[in-house]
Amino acid sequence: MTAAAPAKFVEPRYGESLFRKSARKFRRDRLGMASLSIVGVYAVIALCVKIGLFATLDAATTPVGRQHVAPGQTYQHILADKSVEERTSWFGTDIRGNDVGLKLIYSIKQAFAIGILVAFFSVLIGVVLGAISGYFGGKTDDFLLWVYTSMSSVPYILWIIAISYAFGKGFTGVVIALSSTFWVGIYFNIRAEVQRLKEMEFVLASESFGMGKMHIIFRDIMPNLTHLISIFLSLNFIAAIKNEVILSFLGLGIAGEPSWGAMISSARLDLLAGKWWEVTGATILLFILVMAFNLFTDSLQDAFDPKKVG
Amino acid sequence: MSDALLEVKDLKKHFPIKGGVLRKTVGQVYAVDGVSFTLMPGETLGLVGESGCGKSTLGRTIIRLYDVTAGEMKFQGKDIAYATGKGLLPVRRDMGMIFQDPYASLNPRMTVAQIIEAPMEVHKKGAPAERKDLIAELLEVVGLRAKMANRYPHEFSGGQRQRIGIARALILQPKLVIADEPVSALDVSIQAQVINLMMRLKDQFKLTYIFIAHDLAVVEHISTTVAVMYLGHIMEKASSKTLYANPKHPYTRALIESIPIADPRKRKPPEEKKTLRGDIPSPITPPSGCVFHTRCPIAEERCRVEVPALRDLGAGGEEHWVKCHLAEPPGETS
Repeated sequence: MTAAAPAKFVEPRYGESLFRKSARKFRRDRLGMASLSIVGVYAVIALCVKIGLFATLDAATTPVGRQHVAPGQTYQHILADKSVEERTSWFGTDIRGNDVGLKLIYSIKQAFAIGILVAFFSVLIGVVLGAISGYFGGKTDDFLLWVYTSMSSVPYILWIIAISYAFGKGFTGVVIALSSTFWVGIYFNIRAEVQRLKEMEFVLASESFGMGKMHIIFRDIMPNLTHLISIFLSLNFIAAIKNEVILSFLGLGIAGEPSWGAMISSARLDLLAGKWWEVTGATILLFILVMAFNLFTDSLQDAFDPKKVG
Repeated sequence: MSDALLEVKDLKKHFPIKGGVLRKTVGQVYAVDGVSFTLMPGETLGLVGESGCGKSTLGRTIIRLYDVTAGEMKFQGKDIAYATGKGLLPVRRDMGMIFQDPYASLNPRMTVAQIIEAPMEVHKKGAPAERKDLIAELLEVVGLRAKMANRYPHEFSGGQRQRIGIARALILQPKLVIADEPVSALDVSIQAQVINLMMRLKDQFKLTYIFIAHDLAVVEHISTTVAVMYLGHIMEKASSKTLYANPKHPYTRALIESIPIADPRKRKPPEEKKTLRGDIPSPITPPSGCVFHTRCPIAEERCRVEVPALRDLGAGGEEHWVKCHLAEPPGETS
């Protein structure tokens, strides 16, 4: 008889915080760990690009020779002294003769930069406003709720178009546009959770011996939001990456630098002519990252949801 | 009485009901509607009543978790009903509160030591090392082990958590402890342990309790005085012994009769029992006259019209306050 313990069962340890217990539970989750390591590989590549180890912006935007070289094909490259060199392009080249492989790798850094910044700013705004709104209530809550309702009644793609016209196309515009639309959902969720928490007896207990309001928000309420915050961070990270692709595809996103969206956008006509490698490469890298990150988020949710932590 | 620990006079707590787009006040919940009592040091006042009668609201208003709507409150001779800021210090420091749900009253992200230390931090009591010793000592006093201080609430049972809650309420050495249904969320076998602990602590720390419960049987054991509440009013208040032996208010009588009796030979036949009809009316639109007349088995015409006064019908120098037109003082016959 193979009496294997249930996969999610974690035996108790004394004096262990809920966070550590959840982390231990997460480490047991094989799919979660596998997806985390894929995300980790992406992250390491993004970091190396950022510090300039390889695939710098220069390298990615300097033509290496002929246009539209198919992956694995050998072509003749004319050097400065007019001599001819045989070269093999492993990932193909685009319409300008830039190396698709370098563009793909550079785009990983773009995706991570946008994902991290947007997740950070949107969660920061959403959590701070949500906590204020939920805890203080009254006129402050009415005003913030009005802002929330107004924001969420505008179709978000219109809002993003307006922002990117106002701040100009490019990286900063995308980050501002996405952060300023993504916080609303977080705000509403955090507000509801804070309203629930502030009626909990442990908050009343703190009030009963005179703990200050700010102290209560930071000591009693915020730590009980960590599971929500970590889930929103990861959800918004991946949502930002996907939206950057959509925006760049529509011509509203990053311009002048490679990104997966810009690559798909500029190569979509090449696809009709049978030049498949640029679109395919960007799509596969995006797909793997989104897939791995979604699986990671699922496992994170399983491990950190307090209702599932025994 | 100047040596009273707590004097409450005609205390009212109404919650406004907001409605419509502009959040106008469209009504009031009369949660506590004119409550008066005096609490002497060393007394244990049991507050009893059905759910929704305002007993928890009264407790939370006394410890000023809620603002007072009207009335007076004096704690150790100081006016606390409308105090703010520094004026609230005697309340915050010298009153402690024990809560109902031991699963909700401890922050799940803090260790037991952090939870019990928080009141000392707020009131800047003791150096960190002293605090640690105090916590260890108090944990032993409430029946836990000192080394449990570094564990988290989810590692404890309901009864153990309630002991932690009690330790937190006592760490500042309060004069008055308000216990809001401290045992109603616990198993019956644990209830007795916690009540015995509270009685022991009362002697050890010279505490005064306001003990809120919906269960008369629980209150009988621990209280010196019992007050029965109904729809925001105190209907009857007397020493525990008198109230149980000689209830004068029809509501109290109905409550006492509803306590199950284990011995079938002592049970009354069902037709003799004056069980209450219907539900407790809404505190938004309380009945006219005596608030209990809609469910009272002996109500008369004037109960519908006239609000009864809280009268002292005690015999032999003992207080026995009753809020009923029809209750008779001893000796007189109707």
